[in-house]
Amino acid sequence: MKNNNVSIIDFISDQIKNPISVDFFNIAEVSGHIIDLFVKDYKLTELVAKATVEKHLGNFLGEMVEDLLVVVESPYVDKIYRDNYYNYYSSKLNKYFRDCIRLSFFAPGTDLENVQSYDMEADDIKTSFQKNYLGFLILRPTFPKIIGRNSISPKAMRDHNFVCCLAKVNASVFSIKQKIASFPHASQDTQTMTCAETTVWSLFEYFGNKYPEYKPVLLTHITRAMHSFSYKRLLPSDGLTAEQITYAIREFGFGAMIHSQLQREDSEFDMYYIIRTYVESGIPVVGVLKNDTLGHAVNIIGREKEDKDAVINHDVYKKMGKAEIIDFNRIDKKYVFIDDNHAPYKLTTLQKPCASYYTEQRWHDCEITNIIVPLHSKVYLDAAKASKNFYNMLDHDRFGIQREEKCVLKIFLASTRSYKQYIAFNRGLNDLVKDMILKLSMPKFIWVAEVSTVESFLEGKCNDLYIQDATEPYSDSSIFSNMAILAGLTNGTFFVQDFGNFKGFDIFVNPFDSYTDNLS
Amino acid sequence: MNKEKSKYELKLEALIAQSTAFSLTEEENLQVLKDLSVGMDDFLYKEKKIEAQSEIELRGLVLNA
Repeated sequence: MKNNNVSIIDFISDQIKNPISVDFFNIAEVSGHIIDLFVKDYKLTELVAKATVEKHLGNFLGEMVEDLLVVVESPYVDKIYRDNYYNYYSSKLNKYFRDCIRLSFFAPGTDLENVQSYDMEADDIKTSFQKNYLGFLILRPTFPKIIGRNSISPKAMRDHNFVCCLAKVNASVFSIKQKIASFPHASQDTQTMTCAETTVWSLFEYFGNKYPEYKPVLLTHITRAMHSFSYKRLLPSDGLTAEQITYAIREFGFGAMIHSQLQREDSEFDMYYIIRTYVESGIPVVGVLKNDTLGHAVNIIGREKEDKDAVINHDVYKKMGKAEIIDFNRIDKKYVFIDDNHAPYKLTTLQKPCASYYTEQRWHDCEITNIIVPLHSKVYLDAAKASKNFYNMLDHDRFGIQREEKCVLKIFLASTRSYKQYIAFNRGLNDLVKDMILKLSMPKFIWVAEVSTVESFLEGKCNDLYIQDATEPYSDSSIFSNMAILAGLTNGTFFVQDFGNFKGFDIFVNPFDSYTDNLS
Repeated sequence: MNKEKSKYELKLEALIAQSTAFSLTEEENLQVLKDLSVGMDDFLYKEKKIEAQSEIELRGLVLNA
């Protein structure tokens, strides 16, 4: 029999049971197609499908750049949802579907037709694809909470005037492998995952994709880890306590630290300072949000791009050495939140984070009451103690800041590998100083204080720097704690400290490029 | 066999010639370390207290919104 007048979809459907459909649309048209899929494949009524898509997907897509192209693949097997499905949904009476839909986003103008026909050289396809690929979103059949796992580039969002922690997450579209620099996000389904579980999952998805020593986790891994710490059932989920989140973070290999707004209120380093310092270090922080009726968890992963003029015109914090210091980590900025009730990358203030993006009034007075910091297990020195130690150093008569002018101070944690690479490629830095720093033995992580004059700061450069050992916890005044400062460069004096012995040399040093590798 | 010096090594040698090296005496070293630990006892005591209280404060706080 000849196949005259037979459509491709009918022909394939006749040959293959449950074939994967792949279509592409402009972002403005994609909702209509999803409604059709929900009606046809997931047996929703048109009314319910429309309401679900408009409310949940519509709000999400509404925050993305106009004119993006979207590839829709259905059915799609999602690792996170399948895990939840077999662990929970499949045991219920009502029929829950096990397949998902995947949306993949591309920059406007991407030649998807040629890619779909594979009518280009393989390398050309991969290059063109990778250049234009902006991430993916899984729609899971947990109606109406359909926003599943997603990894979307900040460039795909309308508001992307920020820098944040990003990990390269693997994906594939049209069977071509891709990587997307993003921070993983998912919405809660309220039955297996509440804000607490999604926050923990998102954190480990990020670390697991970024560093080989960690691995991404599934919900079952989280609940299994919780079993030894919980007396009541964990499914259906009623959320986790903040303590349980801390326990999970520690169980998955981190050294968790807890900070409280209330307890730090009178400290020289309040909780906001701590958040800013860790975010500047490229470490996402779990924020515990609370008011009289709500308890919520989010990840704080980045900040708005710095307004250099606002920084140099900010109030001086205090005089250290001979300089008037503006401490960058004391300047109020907007921060990037990963909140599972909203699309990713919400830019908001630390003081009243929910007031700017929650429409419901009951959220508006939520405040960050506590934070949980997932530190690498070998970072023994925390932000407050490292900063205090730098303050003492900057104030020192001989090795402190000798410039009699206004300076900007930036304190952050860095891995020695990244920092030494930055030093190696730093063209402005004096070669002798560079060679000394590269040959200096350092632990896996170091704390760094960069000091810039106003002029240098405006050019993205710094003049002085101090390096501190992050493996000295400074928990008491032992001689080792006093020796945490490893090296410094201040006003043309480079010094190193070797077990209490300070040595160095004086040399002319030009301003050199500041370190920017912690946030992308 | 004497290896010929690379351009980089020559550059570093030139920079070393321009620099002035220093080394602190034992007393000076001790003084620097003392200077750096001024006020640290009190600070560390307060930090320990804050950390312990923060952990207690977190107990039982349910996050599910």
